[in-house]
Amino acid sequence: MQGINLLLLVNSSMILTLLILIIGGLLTLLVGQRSERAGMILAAISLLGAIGLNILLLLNVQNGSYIFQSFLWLSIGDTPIMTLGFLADGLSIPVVLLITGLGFFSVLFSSVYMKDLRNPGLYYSLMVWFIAAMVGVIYATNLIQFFLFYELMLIPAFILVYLYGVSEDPKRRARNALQFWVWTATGGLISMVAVFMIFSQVGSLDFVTLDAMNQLTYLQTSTIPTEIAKLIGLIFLLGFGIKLGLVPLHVWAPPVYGEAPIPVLVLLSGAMTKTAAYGVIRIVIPLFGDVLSTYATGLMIISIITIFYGAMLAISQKDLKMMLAYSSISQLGYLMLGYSSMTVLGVNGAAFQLINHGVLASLMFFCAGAIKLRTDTMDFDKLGGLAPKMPYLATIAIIGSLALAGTPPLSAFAGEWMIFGGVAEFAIANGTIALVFLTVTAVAATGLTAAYYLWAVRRIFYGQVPENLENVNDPPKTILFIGIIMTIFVVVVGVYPWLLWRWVNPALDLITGFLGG
Amino acid sequence: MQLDLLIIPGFSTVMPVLLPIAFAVLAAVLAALSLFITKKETYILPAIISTIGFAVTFLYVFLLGQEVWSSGATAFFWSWAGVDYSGPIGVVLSADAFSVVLMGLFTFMGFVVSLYSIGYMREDNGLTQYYVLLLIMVGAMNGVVISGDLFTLFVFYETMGLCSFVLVAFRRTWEGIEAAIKYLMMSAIGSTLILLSASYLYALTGTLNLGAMAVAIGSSNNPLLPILVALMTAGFGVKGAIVPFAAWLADAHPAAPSGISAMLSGVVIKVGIYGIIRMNVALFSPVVVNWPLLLGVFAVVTMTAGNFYALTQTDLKRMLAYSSITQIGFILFAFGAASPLGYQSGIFYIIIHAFTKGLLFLCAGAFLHVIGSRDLEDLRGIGKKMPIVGAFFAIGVLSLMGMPPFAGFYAKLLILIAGVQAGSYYLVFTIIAVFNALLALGYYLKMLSVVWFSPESNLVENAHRPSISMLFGMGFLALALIVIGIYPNPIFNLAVSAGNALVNGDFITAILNALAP
Repeated sequence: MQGINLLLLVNSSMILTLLILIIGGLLTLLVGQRSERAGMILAAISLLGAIGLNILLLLNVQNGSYIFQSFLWLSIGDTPIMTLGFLADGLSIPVVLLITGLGFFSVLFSSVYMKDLRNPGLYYSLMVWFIAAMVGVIYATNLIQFFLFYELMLIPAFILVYLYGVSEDPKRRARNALQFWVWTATGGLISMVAVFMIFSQVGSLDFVTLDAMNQLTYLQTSTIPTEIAKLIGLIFLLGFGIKLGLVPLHVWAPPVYGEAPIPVLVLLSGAMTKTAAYGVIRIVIPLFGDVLSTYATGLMIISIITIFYGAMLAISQKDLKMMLAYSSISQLGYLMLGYSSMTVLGVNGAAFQLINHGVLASLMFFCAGAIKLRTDTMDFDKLGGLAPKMPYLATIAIIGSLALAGTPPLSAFAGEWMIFGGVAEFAIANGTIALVFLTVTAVAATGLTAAYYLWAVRRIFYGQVPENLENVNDPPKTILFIGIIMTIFVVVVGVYPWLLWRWVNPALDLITGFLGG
Repeated sequence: MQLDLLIIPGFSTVMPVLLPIAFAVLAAVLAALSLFITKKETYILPAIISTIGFAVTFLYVFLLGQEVWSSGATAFFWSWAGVDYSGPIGVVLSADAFSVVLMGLFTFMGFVVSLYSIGYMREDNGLTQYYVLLLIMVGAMNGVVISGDLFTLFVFYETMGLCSFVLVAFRRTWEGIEAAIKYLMMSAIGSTLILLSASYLYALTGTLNLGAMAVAIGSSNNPLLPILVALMTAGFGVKGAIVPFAAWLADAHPAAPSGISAMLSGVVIKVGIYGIIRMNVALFSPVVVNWPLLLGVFAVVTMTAGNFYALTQTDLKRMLAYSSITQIGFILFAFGAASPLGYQSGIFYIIIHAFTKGLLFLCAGAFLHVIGSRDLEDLRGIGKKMPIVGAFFAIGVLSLMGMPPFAGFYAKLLILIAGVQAGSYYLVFTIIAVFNALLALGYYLKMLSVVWFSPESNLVENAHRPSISMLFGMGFLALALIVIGIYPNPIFNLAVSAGNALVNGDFITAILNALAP
């Protein structure tokens, strides 16, 4: 009896997750009008519920097993146009856990960080709905469903940035938020064009289904003429590239990163951009990976330009938050580099890095928020010598910086190493000097990352303490709690990557199978 | 309650036409009686009668729908004093699924507008005429979509036109009268073209009955046919707001009282589209006359021109009016695909656009009612003062834009899928349609940013909440948009049945079956 109930719970927990988040958001909105604290707690509880359900799912998708569900949503008679599908496997569930986890931490962080919150119920409910939409993207098995949630997440994101942005001037806030919205919504619409092209060529929009043998199968695209398939793949990459913030499509990113308050920024940079990275690995690579491999070199060049551009601008920033924002752009270049190598190793590394970067970037943003909370500034010139004053935070921030710079026993190392391995493999397979040179350039760029992170650590935590900062101390326990949990993750996964790898790798086997290498 | 008791055998087809006209007479008589007894003009009595009238009519449309869905299209012949007028020029009425869906839509919009007008028109004089004309207009529109012969169709079409001319000029302002005269002139020319085409068709086939006419035309290759198609399309195109015949629309829609604007933009122009589609599908084989291409070309011209006009407007209702032209382009685009999915999605788009544009005009009316201006400059920041109407307005604009989770998303999605599916030259049209969808963002975002994101103007300072009946009228439509946006299948299935009826020629078959002894 118990076993059946548990099975039922596991099978329906993806739908339950979405329902909990949507209804939880609604309750938060209603309760939050009365009391800020109650709203925050309700939002946190709904996110905890989602996390719990997904941990349950995580235990059920080990060793490459999966749970797949599908409902007819829009149809002509019995011919489906759109199905509402849910897929849990070793790739989607860790990403959902990343997103809901970051959401949970953001909500906790907001409770100490966001002062004088206007309309707190709205704030917390928008956070929950933003997360719900992102989770909807990750579970999706149908192209329309994917892009429906993909566009849907922009509404709460836009309102959050517009209402709670840091600029005093409402016009400036409106402009930054609108610019963000127009760019990313256009990115989604561009991808929709590719969706239509797929429909006209194949007549189906389910990119992953169960076949007669109950095996997961990706949409068969070999019937599409190669030239058209290439075009569709490139349109998808263009659409996703906008949200990933690849240079030169990154125009929207720095203003909105500067505008968003830290908890929202964590969701934007740590979680939202990952949905695009997830889209690449879930849709573009299985469906069009083999035809796109002819463009691998070009994509690699774009990725490396992104890495360098982000890193250079990060070095030149005078403000910790903006430095982290540009660093985030640069880091997403690594993800794209892994994808564009189109090798098993590179794609695996990118998938691994997707989760690690989500954690690390958010960790650094939380640290920046904590510093801002205590010192009231994020300007490097006004900071210094904080390590003895706030020892816990300094430790956390330094571990995070080292990890982002790719230092060996920490989590990002394994992913970066695999990405470079994939690029090197590609270069050797093609045997051109130029490609080897590209590989070397990419590795050298890591040095830049190390440079600006260590320089930032030097400028914030060491050196002369400015007079007005004599009395600062460690941030509140909530923030330290968040930081410590994330640091433990970083260290443990760094020392023993298999912990994460055992889920991601079997799920990726099916996807990388399309690369034929 | 047994609804069957309400059915009057044999008259189910004509009830949706007779009822509104009966209620119009009732309203007129009772209002005159009340004036005679109380010596005071009543504003509430005709409003209530008309609202009830629309509700009862809707019930009968529903009953007719049940009949049509279970036993196929119905037909009704006029007979008088034992003489049956089923001959070549007799009166034939026939309802298939397409007619029922449209009648339901017209009646529902009539109900909403009638409800809304209770609050909106309170300060006006001569309300009895207003409601009587509204009822007769809806009755006539219902008549148009069930007319099985060109004579009846023309009579109902002109009745509808006359009512709408008077309603546009209802407030007797100079602007309204001028717009109404322009509308009258252009419509008269359009009607002449229809009449010309109908008389030629009579000369060719010797009948006005659409069923007999379709059989007589068959696949004949008469060189006159393309000219007749052109005359018919242009004639209906005047009311249907197809560029270049739509010059009247941008004057008439803003000048009319807002409830009437909602009717004009939401449903009256759809009657013109109905005429084009019904005539072409029923009478002319696309093999002989390539009318789908004609519609496609008109569609792209209409949507592009509408967009460019709308972009430069400064008057909210005028902007909405031009946006209606664009949307008519999208509807024609779907029908021009001339595939089953094209018809189905086109009908779905008609329904969604009626709700959306109806809602937007009602919101614009609420703004106008409160601050007395419809200039975008004066409307700045009004959403902050009237948050409920502002939210409805935002729902309408987002739906028009095609943002999920509002109904417009699915409507746009389906017509674009239909366009892609049609293939060949239609791909070019689809690309133009996508381009137009993006171009339209320009003024949709402008509307949103004026209403919500701009500092408040002087006039807005003393804005207040509108009356409860107005809120209910708008609320119905907004709720419909959200519900359809979340689960579109039930409404889409109605559209699918209607589209299939169109493809299978149920209308003609029903008339022919009834004609056969």
